[in-house]
Amino acid sequence: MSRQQGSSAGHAPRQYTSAALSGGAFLAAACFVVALAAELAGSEPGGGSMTDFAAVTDGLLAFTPWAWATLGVYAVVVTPLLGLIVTAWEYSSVGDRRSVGLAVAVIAVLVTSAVISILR
Amino acid sequence: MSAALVAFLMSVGAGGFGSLVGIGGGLVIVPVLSVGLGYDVKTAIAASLIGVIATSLSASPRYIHSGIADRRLGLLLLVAAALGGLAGGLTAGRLDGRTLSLLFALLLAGVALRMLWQIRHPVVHPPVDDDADGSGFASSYVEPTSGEEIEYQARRIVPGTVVSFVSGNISGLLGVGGGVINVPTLNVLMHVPIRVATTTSTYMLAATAAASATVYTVSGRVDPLLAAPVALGVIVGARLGARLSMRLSQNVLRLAFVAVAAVFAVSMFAESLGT
Repeated sequence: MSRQQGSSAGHAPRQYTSAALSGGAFLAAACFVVALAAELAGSEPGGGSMTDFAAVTDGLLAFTPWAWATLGVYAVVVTPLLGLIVTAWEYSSVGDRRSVGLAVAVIAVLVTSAVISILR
Repeated sequence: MSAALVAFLMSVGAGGFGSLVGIGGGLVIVPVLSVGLGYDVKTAIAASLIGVIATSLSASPRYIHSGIADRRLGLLLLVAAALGGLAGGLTAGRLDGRTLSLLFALLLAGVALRMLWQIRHPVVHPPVDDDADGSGFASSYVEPTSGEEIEYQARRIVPGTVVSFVSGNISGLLGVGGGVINVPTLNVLMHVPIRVATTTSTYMLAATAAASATVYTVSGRVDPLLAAPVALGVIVGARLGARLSMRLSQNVLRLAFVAVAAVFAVSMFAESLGT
């Protein structure tokens, strides 16, 4: 039986995953606040396909609420994947291969969902 | 008042109420958006999923950093939950709005009945295992209220993994977090302490919902102008609700939820019938 003590030193670091998730949450919240503020200020809402990156970029420069909200949605959707990549790296740094394998398996599911969505 | 501001304020209320009764925001925000504000149920589900991920991202760093969330166990269950979320996201695209409304009404009714049951039959904490057989995930955490280190071993890994798949599937299909299934599964079925169960569930929600949210985003079902105020509102509401929950009676809150859920369930059932 392998015991993983949640609070003691000498085990996989946790601060990098925490920082990655916090950073993503902060970025998303900031984008949403900009979008909401722009909408309340009466800016043209803008619009288009979320996968049209040129339209999103143009909208960001023009401060349209749609473009900033879209960037926030991207940040929300991508941050869990980023957190899992950092988690895999943290566990690999202490040689916990089982946890690295589990993290990679979850990453594979998320990447598969993106690939399936794009191909459909 | 602009539509974004209305969605934000409604989401603050939904996130706060969901947090007060311990079920997260998704189960409240979907009927609020579809029944209360008249959005198409698929658009409401997509916006709710973005809110679910944002809520998890804002809460879980603290739980991970403190070592209370069991990441190793969470990763194991996440493999199944994310697969379930992916399947749910793909299935939702093939179902019409009426079917989704019917499924949501059934979920709401089920959760409300379970809460009524909990009021009459409070959950008994699972016994501490003395006969660990090496098949489970062993871990420990420091209880913040007492500073005591508490050891535990997660049991029934295979059934727990199967339930996680179902939970992920419901999350992707109906835009709810899945905590309403994850927490009792971890606590009652797998014998994980309640504090670890709630924090690990919160940690799992982001990746579970991300699998289906990716499908929703790429297929154009996410309305960013709705998702932004919903995500912000649910985060703010959840934090306010978490603070308030310490001061209010859980049974009174649960009864309030049962009443609200009954109204929403009937409304969504009527919507599924086209009436």
